This record gives sequence, C-alpha cells and structure tokens, in this order.
Amino acid sequence: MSKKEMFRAAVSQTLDIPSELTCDLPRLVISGNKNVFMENHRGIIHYDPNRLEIAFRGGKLEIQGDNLILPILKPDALEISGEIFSLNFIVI
Amino acid sequence: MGISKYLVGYAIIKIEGESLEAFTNLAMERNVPIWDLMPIDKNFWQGKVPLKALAGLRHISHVSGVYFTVSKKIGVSQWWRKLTYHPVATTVIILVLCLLVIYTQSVLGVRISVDGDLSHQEKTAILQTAADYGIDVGLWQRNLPWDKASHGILTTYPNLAWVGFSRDGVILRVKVILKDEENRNNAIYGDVVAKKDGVIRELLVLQGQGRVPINTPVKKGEVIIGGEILHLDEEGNPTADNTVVHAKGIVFGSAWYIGEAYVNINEVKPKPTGKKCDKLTVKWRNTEYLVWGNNNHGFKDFTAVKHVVLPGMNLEVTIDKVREVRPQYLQKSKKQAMAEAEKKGYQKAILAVGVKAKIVDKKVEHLAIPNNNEIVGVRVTLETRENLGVFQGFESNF
Repeated sequence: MSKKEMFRAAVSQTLDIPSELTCDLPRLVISGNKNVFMENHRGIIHYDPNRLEIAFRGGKLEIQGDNLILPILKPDALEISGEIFSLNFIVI
Repeated sequence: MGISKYLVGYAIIKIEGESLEAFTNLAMERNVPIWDLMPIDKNFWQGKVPLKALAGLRHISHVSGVYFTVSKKIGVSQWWRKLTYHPVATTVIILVLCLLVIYTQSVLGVRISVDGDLSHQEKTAILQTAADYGIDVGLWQRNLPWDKASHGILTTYPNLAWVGFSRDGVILRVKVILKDEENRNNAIYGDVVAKKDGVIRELLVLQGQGRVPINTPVKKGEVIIGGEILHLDEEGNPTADNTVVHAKGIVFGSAWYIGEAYVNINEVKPKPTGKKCDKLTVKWRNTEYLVWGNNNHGFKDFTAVKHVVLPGMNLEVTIDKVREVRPQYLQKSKKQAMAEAEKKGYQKAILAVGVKAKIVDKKVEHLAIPNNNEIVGVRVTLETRENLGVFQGFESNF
C-alpha cells in the first residue's frame, strides 16, 4: 500500500468516513447470483458471455458466469446480470 | 425509466472490432450511457444508446478503430417520422381524432327531468321552448345560451319554480322543478308559534303579522307570527274583514336548558376480582340444557352479562358471563366531586339541546343540600340561540 493510500485509509478511519469515498474503493451490491451492481469502477478490461473483467482502483474484479450482460453502463456505475458463478478480486 | 427512454428515443447499435472494451470505456468517459450491452459473438457486441449520443459515438468509433452500425431506431420521434412517410394513414388518424373531439363536445340529445308531475305534452313543449332559445341537438356544447334559455322557459311556463341544465356526456339534461309544492304549502293557513319557552331576539316576518316584540319572553305554543291579518285603524277599530295567510318568517331566540347532577363524595364501585364463571346453555322447546360451565358460581357479589345467540328461534343458545366483584370504596375530594357533578349536569343539559342550536352561554351553580356533607349538587344552565318558531295550521277551516 502506498503512502497516499495509507494516509487516505487513516483519514477515513479517524473521521469515520466510508472508505469507498476516500479510498475510491469499488462498492458492490450483489443480488443472489443474478445481479451485481458496482460503483467506482474504472472501465471494462475484458467482456465475453462467460467472463467479465472490470477494473477498479488498485485491481480488477473477475466475474465468471453464463449469459452475462450489462444492462447499465455509466461512467461511475455498471450493472451485470446473468448467471453468476464466481467473483474474484485480483489486487495488483 | 423505460418510458422516458422511449419518449426521448434510442438506437440499437452493433459494434464490431478488435478493441470493443476500449470503445465502451471511451463512451463511458464521455458520458454516453449504454445499456443492455451483450456480446453476440467474438468481437461483435450489441447495445442501446440514446439517439442524441449517436454523433458522439462516431468520433469514439474513429478513435478506437471500432465500427458501429445502427440496426434500429426506436422512440416517439421515430414513430412520428414513420407517420410522415404514410400521409394517408396520418390524415385518417388526424381526422378520427378531430371527429372524436367534435363528437364529445357537441350535443347529441336533449332530455328533460322533472321534479313533480308533468304530462308528456308539457315536457315536449318545454324541450321545444329550450330549442327555440338555442338548446338543441347538434350544437357545440360550449357557448350555449344557458341564462337566456332558463329565463325564457321560466317566463313561458309560470308553473315552473326553477330551471337548470346539466351535461351528461353528449346528452344535455333540462332539469325543472314545479311550483306545486310551494303552492300546496301556501294553501295551508296558520301561525308561526313558539316551539319552546324562550325570549325572541330576532324576528323577520315574511308573510303574516308579527305578534311579539323583540326581547319578549314567549311560552311554548304562543303565536309569534299570526296567519290571520287584522286590518285595524289607529284607534284599533276593524276597517276590513280579517284575511288569512300561511304565516312565514325567521324567528330566532334564546332558550335555556338545565341539567342537575349529584355526586357522592364516598362512592362505592364494584371492582372485578378476576374470578369468573361462564356457562353455555341451549334451550330447546322450553327445556334448558347446560352444555358447558357451571350453574352455581358461588360468588357473593358478581356482575352477570347474558348473550343470546339466535334469539326467537326454537334452538336458543345463551352465553352467561359471570364475574366476581368486590366493593371498592372511593373517597373523592370536594373539588373532584364538583367537577364530576358539573360534567354530568352538562351532559344532561346538552341532551335536550337541538342539533342546530348554538350554545352562547354556560352557567354553573352549586346546589346546597342541607344536613348532608357527603353529596355535592351542581346545576348547569346552557343558553342557546336557535330557531324558536314552528308552523302550526289553524284548527278551523277558513
């Protein structure tokens, strides 16, 4: 973790501010295995019906599934729906 | 959300190329919303974008080296554009809409409703008069001469007391009320008399002769407005024969209502102990059978409530609820007893006050009870302002 990130985490903890705001962490809302709503993403790295890779600050989220589609695609948020098998966080 | 997208209009696009992710990320960066994005094949996706964003996508396509094609445009604007391609269909739709507006805004029938008895010929004649004054079939509902027509009908038919119009869709209804009721009332001669004891505060004679001055006490049954009009000269001698009318007028006056109540300072109230003895009995042909419970409860003091199910039938089901109580001695302060007595007295007095009467004053008097310090008495007097007059027909026929 870089010094900047450590400072941000410390500020967040001290001032009791949600870390997704200060550290720009992704925020996920998962509805069963059918739907994932993600905020604070950094774009799509790879997309096919069975695998989706979404970038976020400091890593990427890999979603394995079937018939994956993107019903909402906005600069700050996106929604993934389909048959979701796994979510895998890969921190770089 | 779906409706707003449809109203604004959107396009289904197909994107094809090597770096489709880059195209999507660039679109997001430039605030171009994309929805329902799905991969059809490798290097071939499909999505939806707003129509106004298509121009922006062209530049993104150029930068990212991805080709996109619009496969379909959907929305209200597209629908309207399609209509312009079919002028005949558009003309027909506009014509139908115009006809619908004309149909709903015109008069397609005139009916009459009468409050009273009128023959068919009279009804037809009234409708004919209405038509003469501009209330007829085939006219535009707006700007109809309502006032002129009602005035004209009332002038033509003096036996009508009131004429009005109402719209019931495309049907226009002429409503009329006959004067018969009023005439029938006027045919009964009589006085306006006091319906209760009071003092007259306001008197407005509409028909008849006032007999009581303002601020004068009246007894129940006393004539306030006389139906028999006396023709007298200054000295009080009759100048002509008396005439009789149906006395009418507005009579307002003050009336007083009294409620007295007594409250014992040492009150004994039954307090339930919690013990109960319920029973269910069935009565069949004058014979009572105990179904459930006990006949002998053995309570010294108790309250009993009886519920009869299916009363009046051959099979009568009765539920008896017996609760044991014990006397509870409550001692109130004199102030509490006074307040309770005042409340009870007020309730007694207000029971006699009419619905339309307006209470203008309330007086509370404490009643002295000689040789008894335990009972507190209060008299509550309510003064009201209300209608004191009531019509009473003459007993003899004039």
